[in-house]
Amino acid sequence: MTLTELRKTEHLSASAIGTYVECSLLYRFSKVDRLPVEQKSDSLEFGSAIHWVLEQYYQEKLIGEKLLLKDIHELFEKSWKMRAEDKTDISYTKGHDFKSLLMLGKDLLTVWHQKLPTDNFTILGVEEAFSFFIPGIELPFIGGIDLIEEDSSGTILVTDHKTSSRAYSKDEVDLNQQLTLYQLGLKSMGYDNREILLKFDCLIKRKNPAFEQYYTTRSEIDEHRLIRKYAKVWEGIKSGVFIPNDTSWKCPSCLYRKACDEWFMKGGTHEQE
Amino acid sequence: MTAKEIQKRNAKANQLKVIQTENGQLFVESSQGKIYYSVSINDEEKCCTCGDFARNNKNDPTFKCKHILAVENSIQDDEIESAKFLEKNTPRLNKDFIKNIKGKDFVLYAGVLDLANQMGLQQLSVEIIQFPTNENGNEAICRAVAENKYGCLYADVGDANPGNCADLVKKHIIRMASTRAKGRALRDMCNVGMACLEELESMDDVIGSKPPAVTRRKTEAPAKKMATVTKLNVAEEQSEGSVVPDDKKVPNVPQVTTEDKPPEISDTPKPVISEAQKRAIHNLSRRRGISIEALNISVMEDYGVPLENLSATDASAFIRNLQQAA
Repeated sequence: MTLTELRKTEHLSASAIGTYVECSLLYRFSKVDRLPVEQKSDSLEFGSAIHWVLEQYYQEKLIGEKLLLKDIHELFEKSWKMRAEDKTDISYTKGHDFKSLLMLGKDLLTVWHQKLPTDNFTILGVEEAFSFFIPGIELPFIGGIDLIEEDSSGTILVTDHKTSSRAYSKDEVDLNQQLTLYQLGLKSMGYDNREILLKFDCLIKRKNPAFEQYYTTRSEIDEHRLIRKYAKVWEGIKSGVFIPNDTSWKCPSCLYRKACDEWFMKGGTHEQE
Repeated sequence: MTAKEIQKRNAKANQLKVIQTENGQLFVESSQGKIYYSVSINDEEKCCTCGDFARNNKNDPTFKCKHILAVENSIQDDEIESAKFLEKNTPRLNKDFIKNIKGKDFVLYAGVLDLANQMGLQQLSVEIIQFPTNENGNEAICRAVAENKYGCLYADVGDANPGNCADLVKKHIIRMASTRAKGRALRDMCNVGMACLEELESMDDVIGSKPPAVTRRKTEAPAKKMATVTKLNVAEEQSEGSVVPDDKKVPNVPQVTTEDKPPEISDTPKPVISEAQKRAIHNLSRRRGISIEALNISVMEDYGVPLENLSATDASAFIRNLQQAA
């Protein structure tokens, strides 16, 4: 079963849990009520376009082909045009538009292509789907790991591609729960007796684009903490507890601002709707 | 905080420059441009090191100074600049590399190499002047040239023969001559008066029947690593292949003599550190501002072997330690 097919079934994911923890009303709008987003964020669309290009790059590498920078640029242009050209529902941040992001994407991919360390790791999977259950949670956790590689000693290296407007802090990397969930997913796929390393390959959208790799690991304690936390979050979801976090700095760019305002105006009465 | 207060500070915030360092720390330039305030911002709290925040946050936990507002605005507008650290670096000979033997100080070769790197060593090359043969009493002579950041060249020679080497290195005459030559050239470049331990005629006589294991390991492990950093000509290193055939050479293993190897390296059947683990260690140490030299010393001190010889299990533990390092 492909990742797209898997995702059609009801499931949980690291980002869904993260959304619930950050603002559970937002979780409700997107995952329970399944409201369409009020606008598309340029960052999300841009990130998806870059992500697709990197996926194509590693799919080609998997079969022994190496894409040239020219090919990568062409792929990005195709991907970005498909997502954003003449689309009026994308909300651009100040200073950005379709053309500027087209240029930025190419610049970012150039830096990535130049700085990506060469290695002889074996690619085990690209966008590798996983599906597993965590004790106490009825829904499966389903997701796709961007890149799984193995070095000559059998160490498994999991990579998640990110585009970000800034460099990651130590805690953002070391406490990231998506990577912990990936490790659990990897173990469910039969890699539980292997040394597992995790990393973010981060394309940083600065005025001078940058590429940074962030290695990290997760211990059994980290896994245990995630399981405990997720089980508790699941209790909240099942019980219909959806509390708005309306003091978050992310509120101004929230994709459900109108729905949130309406919820407050109605005094939360459609909680039980 | 009243809307007026926010508006007033927001107007000022828009003029402020926000930068972020490689480790993610955010700084905001003061309005006078003289200093930077550190701002931390997450879902649980927002903090600034400025006086305005210190004064007002006590009474109003939701208070935001102009620096916090500047960060929030910059995140929204994607206007955060990356910072470049200009580290004030005073070259200094690390005391760990100095060994006192019978009241006299000696510097390890690794120490002068480390100092040279701090002082901007640009290039270090070695040429074999004389190969050891039976006719010349198996004496090898090498000439080393070091170039500093100003383009000044420092050259010197080093010799080694079975009569002026410790028993442990008698089989590796060229290597010893090379190390001595490099040590002497680097000492000149760094203005280090004390002799290198490796220049001693017979360390057996000075130190005793066998050099202390720790000292010997420290001598060799960082030296190999630092040599890589200084882009030492690989071909010249390979010239030592006249002693050991290329196909018998083990890549990435420090230049220690067979007799000198800690037993756990050759005897242990444990899987050694993997390539991915090495990358993780270097990535983590770089992000935490740990130099390659300090990294190697740390591995040597904690595990008694060079980084390249760590077992996979120890590498895993070391990665975890690095991760938890501040």
